[in-house]
Amino acid sequence: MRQRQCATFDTSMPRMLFDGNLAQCFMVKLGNHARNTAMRNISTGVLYIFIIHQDQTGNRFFKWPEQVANPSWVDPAPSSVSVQAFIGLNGQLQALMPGTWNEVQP
Amino acid sequence: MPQVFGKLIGIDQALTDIGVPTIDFQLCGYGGQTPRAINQGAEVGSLAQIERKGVRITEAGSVFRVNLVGNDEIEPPGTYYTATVRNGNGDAVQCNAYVFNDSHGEYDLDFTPPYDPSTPPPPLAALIADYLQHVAYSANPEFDAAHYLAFQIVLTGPVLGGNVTGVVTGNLYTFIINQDDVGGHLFVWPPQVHNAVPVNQDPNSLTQQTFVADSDGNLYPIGAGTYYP
Repeated sequence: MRQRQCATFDTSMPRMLFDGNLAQCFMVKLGNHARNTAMRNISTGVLYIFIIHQDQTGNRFFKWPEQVANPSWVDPAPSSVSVQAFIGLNGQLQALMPGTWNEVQP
Repeated sequence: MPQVFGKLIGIDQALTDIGVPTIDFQLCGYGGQTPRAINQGAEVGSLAQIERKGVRITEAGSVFRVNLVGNDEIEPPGTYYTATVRNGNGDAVQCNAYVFNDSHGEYDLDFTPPYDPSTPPPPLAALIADYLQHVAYSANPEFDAAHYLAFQIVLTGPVLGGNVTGVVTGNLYTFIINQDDVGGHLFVWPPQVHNAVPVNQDPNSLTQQTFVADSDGNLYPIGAGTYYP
C-alpha cells in the first residue's frame, strides 16, 4: 500500500530540485550547506512534507525554496531532524502548521 | 502526417435511420498522466485536434479513419480513447473505450474493446477505503503500517513498548490513543516513533498525533499532538 512517494536529496547535489510531480515527501540529508534549492510542479490542495536531517556536525544551512511560504527554521543541532508540512496553493507551499524538531536521532 | 485508423465494432444494428451520425473522441491519460503529443511538445487534451476522415457510419462494422494533425506520437503508453457515436439529435447511441496498440504500427488505433463486451468489466476499487487499524490492547501491540495509515487503540492497561511494522517511506501515519474509563494507563511509544507527545492519562481521553515516515523506518511528527477532551 503505497500512498505517497518520497524523494531523497543530499548536499552532494549541486542543486536540489524538489519536483511535486515525482514525490509529495522530500527527505534532505545535510552534509553541507544547501543554498541552491527550488520547487516545481506544485499541485494545489496536495500535502507536501519535508524531512531535513542534519549530519553529526550540524549547523548546516538549508535555504527553503522560493516557492515556500512561512516555514519554520531548520534545527541546526547535530543529528537533528526537522519536519515541516505544507499545503500546495497557487504555485506556492504554505506552511500547514508549525514544524517539529527532533533533537536526537538514533 | 501520421495516420490512424480503426474499425468500429460492436454495433449490432443498422444505423441508417439515426440521421447524420457524428463521433466524439476523448483522449484519456493513463495512470493520472495528461496525454501529450510528443515531438511537437503540445498538449493534446482532446481529439478536437484530430482530423476525421471518412466518418460516415451507416451500418455495423463501418470503417472510419482519422488523422492525427501534426502529431507524431502520443504518450504516455496506455493512453486510451473513448469514441461516442451520436445520432442526428446528438444522443449517444454507442460509447466505447479503446487503447493504442502498436502491434500494427505505432500510429494505428486499435478499436478492439479492451475487454469482452459480453462480460461485465471488473468492479472499480472503492473510492472510500478503511485504512484505520483497530489494534487490540496488549502490553506490546503491533501496528501494521504496511496496510493501514491510522491506528486506534483503547488502553485498558499499560503499553510498555509496541512495534510498528511495514513502514512505507513518505507515508503519513496517525495514532489515536484512547484511555478507558479508568484511565491512568501508561503508553510507551514504539521505538520507531520519535518526539511524540506524552499520552494523556485522563479517563476516556483521546490523544492524536500524525507522523511522517523517513527512509530509515523512523516516524517523525509533522505537528504537535492533540488531546480530547
